[in-house]
Amino acid sequence: MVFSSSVFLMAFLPLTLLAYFLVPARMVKARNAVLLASSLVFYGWGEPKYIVVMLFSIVFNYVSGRIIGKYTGMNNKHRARPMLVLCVFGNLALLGIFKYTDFVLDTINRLTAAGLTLPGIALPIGISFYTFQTMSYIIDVYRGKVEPQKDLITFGAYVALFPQLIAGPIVRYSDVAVMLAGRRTNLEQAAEGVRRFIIGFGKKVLLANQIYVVWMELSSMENLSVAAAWLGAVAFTFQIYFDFSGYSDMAIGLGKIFGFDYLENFNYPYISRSITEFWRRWHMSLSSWFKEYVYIPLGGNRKGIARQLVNISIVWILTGLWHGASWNFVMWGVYYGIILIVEKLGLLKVLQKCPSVIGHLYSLVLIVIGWVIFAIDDMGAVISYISMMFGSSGCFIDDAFLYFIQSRVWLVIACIIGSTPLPKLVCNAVAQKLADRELLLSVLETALMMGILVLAIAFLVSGSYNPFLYFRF
Amino acid sequence: MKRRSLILISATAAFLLVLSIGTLIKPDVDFSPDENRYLTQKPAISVNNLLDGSFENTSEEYLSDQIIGRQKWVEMKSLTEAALGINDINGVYLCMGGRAVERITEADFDQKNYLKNLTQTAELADVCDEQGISVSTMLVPTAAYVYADRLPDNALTFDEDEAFRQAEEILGDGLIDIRNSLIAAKPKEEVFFKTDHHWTGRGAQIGAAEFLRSAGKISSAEKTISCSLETLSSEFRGTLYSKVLLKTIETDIIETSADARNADIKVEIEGKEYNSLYFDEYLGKKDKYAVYFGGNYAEVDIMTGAEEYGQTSKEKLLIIKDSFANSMVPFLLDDFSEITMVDTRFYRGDISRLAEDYDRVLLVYSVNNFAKEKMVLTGSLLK
Repeated sequence: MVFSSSVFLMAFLPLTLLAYFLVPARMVKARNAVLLASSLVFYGWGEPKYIVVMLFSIVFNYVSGRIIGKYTGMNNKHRARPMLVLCVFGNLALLGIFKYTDFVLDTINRLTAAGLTLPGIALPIGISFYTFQTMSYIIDVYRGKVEPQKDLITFGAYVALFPQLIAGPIVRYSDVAVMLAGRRTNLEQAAEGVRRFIIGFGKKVLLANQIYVVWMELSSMENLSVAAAWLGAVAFTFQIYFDFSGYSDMAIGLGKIFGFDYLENFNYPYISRSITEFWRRWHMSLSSWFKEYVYIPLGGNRKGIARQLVNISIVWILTGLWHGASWNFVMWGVYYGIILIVEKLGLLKVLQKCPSVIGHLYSLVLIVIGWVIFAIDDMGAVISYISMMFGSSGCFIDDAFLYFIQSRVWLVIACIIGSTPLPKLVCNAVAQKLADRELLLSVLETALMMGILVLAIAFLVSGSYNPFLYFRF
Repeated sequence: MKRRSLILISATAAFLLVLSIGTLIKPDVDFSPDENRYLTQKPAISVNNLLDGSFENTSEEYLSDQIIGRQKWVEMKSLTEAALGINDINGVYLCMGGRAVERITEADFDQKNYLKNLTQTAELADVCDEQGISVSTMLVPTAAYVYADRLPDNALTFDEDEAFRQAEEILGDGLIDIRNSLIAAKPKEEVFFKTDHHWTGRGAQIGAAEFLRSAGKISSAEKTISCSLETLSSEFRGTLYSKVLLKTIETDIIETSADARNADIKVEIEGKEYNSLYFDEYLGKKDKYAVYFGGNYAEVDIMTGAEEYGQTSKEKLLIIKDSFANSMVPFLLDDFSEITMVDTRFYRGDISRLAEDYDRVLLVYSVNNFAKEKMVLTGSLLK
């Protein structure tokens, strides 16, 4: 199930909220049970067989966590370590089988003409996200950073929690351990949750789905002018941001309604002045996961510059692969790995001395080109698209560009403003100004939120493009 | 702060509750006349349906289709898009003068299939030519072509001039090119509906006259182009309206040949005989274009002429067609003793065999339907 669907809004969410809040807050285990049950329904909706994969993952990690916890509790790292290796291997195997089997076989076929049949395993949604969550738990238990969860239901609720289940953020167990044991939703938190959910819903349905049309149409054309190729790539750049950050907003908002405070996942990535900064603002829960569980254990920057560059390369190839089982994702990871290494080797210092406009321009151009590599899963097509961006069609401007820029001018403006902190600054300023006129402020805010919600539902039920990009990860 | 939170939460909760409970208790609707489609009905719940995902998928469509006030939601979306200057909604261009025009881009126009169908038509013409049967093809240009000046700025369309050039190259004289006649008539009259993808009665009249002229029936052509029209309905909202549901688009007038209304004819459709080609009951429904023959069928036979149907010295005409021919046939009743219409979407017999019984064969298609058709003109589909 996805958040931007009629079933979620009109049936699943109302029923789940009702069941959840009918259970008194002091009975937190019962509340966790409600969350686990509803999350499994959410997860299995449309693909019930994958509930089995999910249940296996829960039980496997629960048992491993208990065993590792027992050994670390006895300060017996010696015996905990093989168990940790086994468990991490198990999680990676699960991910590998479901996500990478076809990719690996296909690559072997291409290289050797072995002619292996692809089993065509369908990816269980969200597996990349919850596998990373369970691994963070296991490793943290091993490190003694968290106590192992003794209650299977509560652990299941952590793994399967539907707000962040299928498209993140990747919530680390250590960040929610306390809330799993006991939480209350207060009024302010719930209101903030509603706000975040509606804003995310609007970003997804009103911005991402609409600008997607521009990318879809332009990218399917054979010959594009320079301007049209850039417009298409920029459209995808907006689409993926509003799609993914919208989803994170909805997840964080729903989490708040249930009493969880998740860490932020996006921080206006497109206002960055360097790619290093971009990756501190984009999908923060993933970057910090890789930093914590791959980069630092590999030695990070503590073992000399040569080793650091190797570590960066490893992290970025893995980041690329995490995003999808296809070579273009690996290329996309390598692309960012190289840029980050170049920045580390000195470009970053140069950029800091330049006027900020240079840094913005430099980052945006590289980000937009990066998304083209990301969006097209055929390297030949990626190269031909990028060459159109640099004039391979021999024409600078065409009807396709003119048509879309004219008919979508307000949409593009909304996307540009929406990717900056401006809307938030304006809202905060208004709230400040009306601080002593609470009723007026409340009515204004409610009207704005209801406006977004109503319009987004209109676009949702009228049917148009409604894919979730991060669904395949 | 507390009050602000309370107001926001209760408003949102109340709204979602009204939406879900309202949808739950509202009786389900089978058919949406405005959208011109059947709406999804309540899915049956069973273990199988749940396991294969069909219950889940259908329930999503069910809730979207049966949501309380569905019409208003769709209208709100279209109005918002139109207000933001988005001129293409659901595959339809919103044009100047309250006109909706079907949006057909290069990607939508199936070039390969188009050429295949042209080649087949040329082959049919060759086969028929040997038996002295003349074959001509009328490709009706799209509304986007005829009303190119009303389209949004820089609107994307397929290269229709090139399509007609190819048709001319393959069909030669067999092509009846009516582009200029339609464009010439456009400033004074509506030749395409504003709310539907079909041509108007006037457009069909021009098409009929052009066909007669090309067949060498010059005086009949003169008579046809000036014959008087009768209004069947002035409340028509067609397929393009159904796609955008914008009330700003004006209603259309359906006109037809006044003579054909009273003509003494026999029409045979699927084994049933009628004495008129008009099915007036459709004028009270949404799909008013179905007033002609009540829709489309594999084969329709029309006998014209006085007492002894079909027994005059006039020619027999076979029309291979899409729905554009339905409104054109009324203008041809005087000039043929028998007209058979065959719709390639439904007809499964051997068309080249069928043609042997006729004096003349005419293909009438809108150019983009022609590119879409999976037609087999020589040989049978029945194996």
